[in-house]
Amino acid sequence: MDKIQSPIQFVVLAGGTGSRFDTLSSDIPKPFLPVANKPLLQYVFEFLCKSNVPKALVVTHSGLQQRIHKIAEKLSIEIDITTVSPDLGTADVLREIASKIDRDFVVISGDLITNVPLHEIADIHRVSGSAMVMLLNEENEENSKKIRKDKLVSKHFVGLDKDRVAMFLSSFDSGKSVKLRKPFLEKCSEFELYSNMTDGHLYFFKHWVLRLIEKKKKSISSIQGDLVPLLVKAQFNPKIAKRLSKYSQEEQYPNFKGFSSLEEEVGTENQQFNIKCIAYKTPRDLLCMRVNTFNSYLRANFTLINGNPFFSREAYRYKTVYMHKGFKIQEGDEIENSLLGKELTISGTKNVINSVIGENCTIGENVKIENSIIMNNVKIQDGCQIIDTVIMNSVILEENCRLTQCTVRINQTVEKDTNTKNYIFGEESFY
Amino acid sequence: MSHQQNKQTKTKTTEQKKSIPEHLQGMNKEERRQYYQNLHSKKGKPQKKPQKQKQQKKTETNKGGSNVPEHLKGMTKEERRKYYQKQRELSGGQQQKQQKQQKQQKNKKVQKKQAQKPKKMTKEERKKYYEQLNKQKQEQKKNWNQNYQQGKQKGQKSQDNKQKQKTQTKQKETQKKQPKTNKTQQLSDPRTRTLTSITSHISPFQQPTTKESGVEFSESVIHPLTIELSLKFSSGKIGGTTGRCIALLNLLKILIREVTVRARFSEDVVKMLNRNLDYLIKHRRFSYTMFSVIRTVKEWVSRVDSLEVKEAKIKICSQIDEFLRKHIYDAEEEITEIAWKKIKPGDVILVYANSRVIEKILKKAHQNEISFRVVVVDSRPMNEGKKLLKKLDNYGIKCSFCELNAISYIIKEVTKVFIGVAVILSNGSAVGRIGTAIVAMIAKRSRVPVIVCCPSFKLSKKVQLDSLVSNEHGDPKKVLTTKNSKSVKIQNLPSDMDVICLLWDVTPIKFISLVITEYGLLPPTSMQVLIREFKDF
Repeated sequence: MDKIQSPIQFVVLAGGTGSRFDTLSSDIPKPFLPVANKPLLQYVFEFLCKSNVPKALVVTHSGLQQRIHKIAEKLSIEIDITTVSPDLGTADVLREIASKIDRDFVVISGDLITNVPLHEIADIHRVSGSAMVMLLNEENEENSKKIRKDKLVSKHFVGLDKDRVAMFLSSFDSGKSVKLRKPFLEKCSEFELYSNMTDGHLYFFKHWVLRLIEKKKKSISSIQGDLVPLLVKAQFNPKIAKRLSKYSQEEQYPNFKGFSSLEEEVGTENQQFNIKCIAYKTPRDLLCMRVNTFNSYLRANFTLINGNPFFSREAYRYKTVYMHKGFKIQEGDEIENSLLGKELTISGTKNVINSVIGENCTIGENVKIENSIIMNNVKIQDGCQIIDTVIMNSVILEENCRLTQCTVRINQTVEKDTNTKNYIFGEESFY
Repeated sequence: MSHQQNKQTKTKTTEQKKSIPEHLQGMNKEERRQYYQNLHSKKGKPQKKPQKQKQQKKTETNKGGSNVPEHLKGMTKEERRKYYQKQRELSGGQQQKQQKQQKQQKNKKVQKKQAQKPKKMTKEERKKYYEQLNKQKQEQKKNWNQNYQQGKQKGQKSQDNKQKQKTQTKQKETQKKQPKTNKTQQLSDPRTRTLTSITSHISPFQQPTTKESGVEFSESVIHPLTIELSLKFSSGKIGGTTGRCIALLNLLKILIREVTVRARFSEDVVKMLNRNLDYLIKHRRFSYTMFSVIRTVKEWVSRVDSLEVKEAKIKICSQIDEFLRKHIYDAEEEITEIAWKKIKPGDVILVYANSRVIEKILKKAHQNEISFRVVVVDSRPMNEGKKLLKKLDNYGIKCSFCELNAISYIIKEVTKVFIGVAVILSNGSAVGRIGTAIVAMIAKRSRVPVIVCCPSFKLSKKVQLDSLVSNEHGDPKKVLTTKNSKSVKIQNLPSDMDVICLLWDVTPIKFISLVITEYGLLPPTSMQVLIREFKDF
């Protein structure tokens, strides 16, 4: 029996510099930042494995290839890695790999943590014949609490006409207000405008979009910033649609224009060119998080402490605490809602609430840890209080420290009796 | 008796010399016996031993000792005979009564109950009884508070006992009923719902997804176009019978073009086709026309073995093209040329749901400057009339729109009814979108002619007397929801309730007045002739 190649190819972009949280990403490269004691890239690979994807193309910086191979060997997925310089935008990256892509393709960013059923989005892509399908997530007010100052992140105004993306504006371009014109509204049957939607950076594209990117080198350099607004505008603007029609009307099979002449839809204008962009909203029960700012990193950790059955975990569970063998909880300990790594030793009564602790840590007596993230090989001596802080690898905290809303970088030692708030140990702050 | 005495003496002589006490050695047997009897009688002990002897005597007197039942052992033969005679004289019920009474007299509980039953009283006794009651009531009225609280305490205790009993019984019942509740839960889930007995032979509706079949992103044996088509068929994007046929034929062309042949051409192609078509059928059942099309294509494939691979592919593709042209595109054009002349100025034409042929007829009539107007009728679940309405509006035809429930009012204005159809059966009746039968019936009743337009490849040799014999299920959500009203969720329906959403129905021959095919205008009774004479496949 002849096997036919699957018609969809996957591209994972793991080359981000993490420019929006300098402190963390300058020590540890962003794809290996531990979220709930697992490197970030592993979440993307697990997601692809569970949706039965056999192969993926990965794009990174040089020097990270071996570690990525290690992560992928544990899971049953084949990987083809290419290295790229860190200056390029996301669309420029696609231009460099263009020779390897010969079908409809999917672009996933390496900092995405989701639960979403991939086959449903693929079905939408197949049935509708749309140029692009994108993943959107509606944010609640609970999730948007902020503990740290974030660098500027662009917000998007998203207008949806049932499934269709009618408008996709970034707040940089439009400011705080949005203009809606009457003839534009007349073309949509139902129009809903959202300001709390985040883009999941998971896109299904048709093959002709690659041709578009290849030819327009100057004007398209990032997917989210340039490509997506272009395609969205082309749905309603006949001039732009004409320009794109060169690419969109190529024939995949000779003398066969597709089944679109047989499909009958109510309410479609511009039937000649027929470019569509469709959005898939994540259902309320499921996750969709991007880890590209400090606050989103903290939020990702805290939501994943409580175990998501979609992602694997090697720990044992006792009520709300996940821990490994050899760790015992006694009476008088206050441990809630936390993730404890391997080979942990805490002496005395334990007081750990809402936090993540990595491997090989030794913690002394009378230590109180709340709402904080501690990575591997950390030594904390007696009497410390750690609240809302992030402590990175191989740090030593000496006695009686009190830290709130701080970050401690790699290989630092914090001296005795320091009592600080909102400080970054190990570097002069850029803020 | 003498024998038994001798037996006893023999046994005793051996033991006598050993076990005789000293103070009795001098006496004989008889003297010893009298001594022991005097002893027992003087002391006044219970006379067990003599009683035993009495019983032994009685058993010794009666010969049939072991077979006598227990309740008759005390009687002699003559008494037993009288007892059995009595029983024979009486009937069976009275025997049982007598037995019951005898048993009851032994039971103490029954005696208590009989004592509690009200006894018949004379007048004087009744007077005394009622006087006592009145006294008690007057006392109760005085002491009502005390009695009330006493009654409360008693009631609480009894209620507590009752609740305990209830919970115990409930636990037992739930333990018993758990297998049953699982069935009701299964019923409420729309996918596993077992439908009512009428429609149970029709397979239930499946949501269109690819995950169930296991073909998503990996290499597979199935062509990606079939996956695409299966989703489009099952979601209703490509809807009508001719549309589906055209899509199928195009698919078959591409599949045959891309096959790599190793052994014989026909075998490989047929295998490949079967794989893809099995996948397609899972998602939505084929219509009759699609089955016949597939059959003819397979026949063509089987006749092409003599040629080389390339030539064979070219030949089959050209045959498919010819089929499309002859039976679908050219046929539709001829039908329009015949049919548009039937529309006269001033006509009001009623159309139900969507049909390619009828759209073309109306377009052509409008182009030839005939003034008429159209009424488009639409219904759930498919809501296809809206698509037709939009197209006709774009051509510039005057249209009005109504739903199926208003048809008996609208039919008063209508002069002609044009209907598109899925299949015409050999007995002249037509299978169409659900609702066409209603439209045809009401038109017939109001003496409006019903005209069916279909190309000849939709004729079949089959007969179907009933719409339920072979049908298809659609999405039940579409029946439950309408835009303006709040939607009823399937999960909120009671567990005994099922939702039926059928897609096809049969209009009987008496409602159809005319059939237009590419061979001309014919009455529906002559469909058999067409099938016999003119059908190629």
